[in-house]
Amino acid sequence: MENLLLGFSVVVTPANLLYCLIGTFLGTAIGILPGVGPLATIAILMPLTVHMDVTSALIMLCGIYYGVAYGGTATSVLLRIPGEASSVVTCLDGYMMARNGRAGAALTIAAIGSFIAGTIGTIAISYASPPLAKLVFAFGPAQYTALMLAALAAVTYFSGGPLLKVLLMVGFGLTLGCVGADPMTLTLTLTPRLTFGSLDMVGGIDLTALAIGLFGFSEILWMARQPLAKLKLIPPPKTLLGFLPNREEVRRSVMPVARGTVLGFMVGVLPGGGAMLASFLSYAVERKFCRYPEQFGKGAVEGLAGPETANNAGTSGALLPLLCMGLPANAVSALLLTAFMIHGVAPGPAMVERQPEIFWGLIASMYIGNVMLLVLNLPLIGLLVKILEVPRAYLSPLILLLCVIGVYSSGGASAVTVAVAFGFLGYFLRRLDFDLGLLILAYVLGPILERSVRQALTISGGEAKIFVADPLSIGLLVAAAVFLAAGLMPNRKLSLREDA
Amino acid sequence: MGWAMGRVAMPGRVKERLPFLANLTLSLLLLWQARGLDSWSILGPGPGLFPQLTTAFCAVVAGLLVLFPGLARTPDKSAEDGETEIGPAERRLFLAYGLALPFLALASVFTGFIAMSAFLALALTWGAERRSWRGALVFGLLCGLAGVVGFDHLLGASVPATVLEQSILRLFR
Repeated sequence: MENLLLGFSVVVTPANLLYCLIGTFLGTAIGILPGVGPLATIAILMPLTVHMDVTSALIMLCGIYYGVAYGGTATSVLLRIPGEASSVVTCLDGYMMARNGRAGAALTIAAIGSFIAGTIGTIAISYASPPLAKLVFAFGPAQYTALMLAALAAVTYFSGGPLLKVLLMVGFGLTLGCVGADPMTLTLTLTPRLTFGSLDMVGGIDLTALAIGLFGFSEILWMARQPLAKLKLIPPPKTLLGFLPNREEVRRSVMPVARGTVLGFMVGVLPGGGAMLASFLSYAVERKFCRYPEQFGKGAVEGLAGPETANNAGTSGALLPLLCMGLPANAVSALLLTAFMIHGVAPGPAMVERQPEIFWGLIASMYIGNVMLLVLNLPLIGLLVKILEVPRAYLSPLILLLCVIGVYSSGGASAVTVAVAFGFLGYFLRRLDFDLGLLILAYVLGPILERSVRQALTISGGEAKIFVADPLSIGLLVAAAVFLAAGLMPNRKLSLREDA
Repeated sequence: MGWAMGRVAMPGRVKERLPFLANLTLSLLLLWQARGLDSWSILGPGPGLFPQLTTAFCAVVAGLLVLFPGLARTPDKSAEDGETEIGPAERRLFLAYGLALPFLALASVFTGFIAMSAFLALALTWGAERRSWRGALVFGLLCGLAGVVGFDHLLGASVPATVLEQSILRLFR
């Protein structure tokens, strides 16, 4: 409790409250806009936060991360366009509720469910973080290597694609992480790796260029191929009374919200889990529990309340391993990990112990951010969805220019060239159905994994037995093997998608 | 008949293998680079150990996919149904956006941000999306100014700068 009060004392300053508002507002706007995801936005903004106070910068970037799930709801309900992948399921029953004249109720149920999930998720992080951080202190390099391998294996399993294709992306990401000077060689001369003799590459591949190329530029190319569809917006209510759900809708939302919160948080904590998987799972669970399964797809309140709650809980859940173990559960949290590092903060047990003002300030900002999101998402939603009316002719050049500013600020003109190259690569990989998020995640995890492997082997004098020397490592390696073996099973995610 | 069907099916199979073949080639190239590094030194594991492991891993996985491309198919998608044909309008738009990206790379070296914004808006908003050229030009110039003043001056970001941008920045300092 003392720690949380410390956190609130850090956040409740005009500057931090403003950055929290900017982050949550941007997150909502990005959630509304199809095509511009949190990854590209955080990558664009990351270099701009370098001159900011570290706590303010992290509060804003995290606000974007958890704000996205709120924004995606509005377009799913009012337009049947998911602003974000985690809002795809909301299109089914949320949009049908809106067509049945219950748009206001659908938005309110989704916003309140999201608020409850976000707040309970934050409370869970507050209480789970200190013991988890203490547990992680017991990890040596060998155990950490096993943990990372288990996490990567879990990510490959949950990504749902064909195993070899997924592994190829993981391998490619790990390899990209090796490009540049060896960070562990303690000599006066640099040891360049995989640079093909290019001096520009000695500094490694700029993460901002990689992320903006793969998720910003490639998205613009992707959007250019799509024919423009006329948007049919179902107008949200004009008065606040129109947003109120009736008693029956409230009664039917209570249990899905409760289940969605627990399920979403648990799935979010798993590496590779995250908001999208949480929402799909919740939809499947609600369909099983619901007394009126025939209403699913036709405007069932449960089909909206459960997944909408679960995706927010999943977003909060994914922050737990990041903050306490320095282990990102998905691509966006991998980028957040880099943002932390740029500001000289290493998320993990040391952060909880040595920089409590940053850690608890961030947690406290999430409580406040969730209240801000609730306020933003009800009365202002009619205004916010107007963003979608900005024509592509103006929106696309604007996004491209923002991407250039982000990349140029991070690495100059050469980084822009790298981003463009990754833009084309990302576009072709997307067309071939490769998972680009995995590439980013593996790229960020690669250097950490390498450090653990090399430290462990240095300690053991080159004996690989160190990786199976204690029960914890063995357990984690077995878990990794189980995930990989399970990934070989066909149709493992198909049934879920069919349910949805 | 069977021969004819075989001939029709071949390009599809080759096409399916192409990305994995490209991946295999790249992985082998990187592995060749990594092999030149020490995998072990007197202090312990050397700089080459991890890159050798990851590139060899990529090469093996890509090799398997070249041999058995069916392993990369999603259960609900056959190899042929992934592609959707696009019309001439979308193709033209895609080409314009595709050319805009290398332009951005070149412009960030040779032109300043304002010229880059103006040319980009003219190319995309007017040229590709068929809006009025005056509107596109004004939009581009405004974006350029907003980038220089808003992002460079106020937020401390950097934008590609020439004499024009530096003169504008001097007005604000």
